[in-house]
Amino acid sequence: MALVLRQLGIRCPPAYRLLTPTICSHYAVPLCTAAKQESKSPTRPLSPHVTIFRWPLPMVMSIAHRATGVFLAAGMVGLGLSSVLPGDYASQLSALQTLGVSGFPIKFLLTVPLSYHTWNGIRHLAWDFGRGFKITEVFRSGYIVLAFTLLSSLGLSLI
Amino acid sequence: MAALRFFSVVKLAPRPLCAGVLLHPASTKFQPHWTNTSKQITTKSHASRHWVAERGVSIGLLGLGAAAFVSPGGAVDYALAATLVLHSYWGVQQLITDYVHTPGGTRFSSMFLKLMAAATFASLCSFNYNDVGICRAVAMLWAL
Repeated sequence: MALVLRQLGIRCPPAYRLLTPTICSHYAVPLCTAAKQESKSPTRPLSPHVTIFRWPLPMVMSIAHRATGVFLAAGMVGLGLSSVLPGDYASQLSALQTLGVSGFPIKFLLTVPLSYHTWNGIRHLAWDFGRGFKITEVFRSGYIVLAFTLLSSLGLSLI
Repeated sequence: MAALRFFSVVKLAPRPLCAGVLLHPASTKFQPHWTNTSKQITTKSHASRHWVAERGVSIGLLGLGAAAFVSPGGAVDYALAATLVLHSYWGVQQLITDYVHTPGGTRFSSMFLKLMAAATFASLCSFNYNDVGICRAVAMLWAL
């Protein structure tokens, strides 16, 4: 009997809806050409959203995780550039030193993205194992990551 | 209804009940609905295996970072080069997936990313071989 009902439902959705109150996805239509073009470059004004609402901490930390990841990847490419540019690493370092790149500020600037990405990465891994999804836990782990980031980058920069 | 009663009497070969579709070996072949990817994706489990591999490499990178502190050297240098490049490649690939929406743009950026990843890995290996190596380089930067 159920099989007969299913056959009916596939062929005539309106009648099927009379028999069983379900949401029919057959009515979902893909965007037509005009609508697709409109969505690509809308001329209608957009309601303000990110500019007027508060940015919650998890949202900011998520963007920061991505941004630090990109920055670190760029740094990795930069380190690889060393073997492409003229001179060995030692001479390139002394050239950078003459430009004023040395000391605590530059070390701090380099360790902050690395330690943030690492600690937040561990937080991500905890989520991947299914742990820490409650809202209080999300915020708490976020603050812990920020604290660890500050402490570890300070510690590493002072070596 | 009579037809159903007939089927309940006759013993049919055990097969999954699928309304209106007769299962034929040819139609059970996996047909992905996406078009702008390489031909390597042939199984349904590809995406989830990739997900697991990403996390595995991340965990490995954590251990490698600790190892770089404890025992810096040639082995850690090369392992770091490989793992860092792989982790960054997969990470930036996610960026392309999220922000590039046209098939042409995706193909171009993915190709450019592959090129950059290969070039970076080659240059890092060259750095490890011909120059001081990654761990030593960080130590030298810190000594400035």
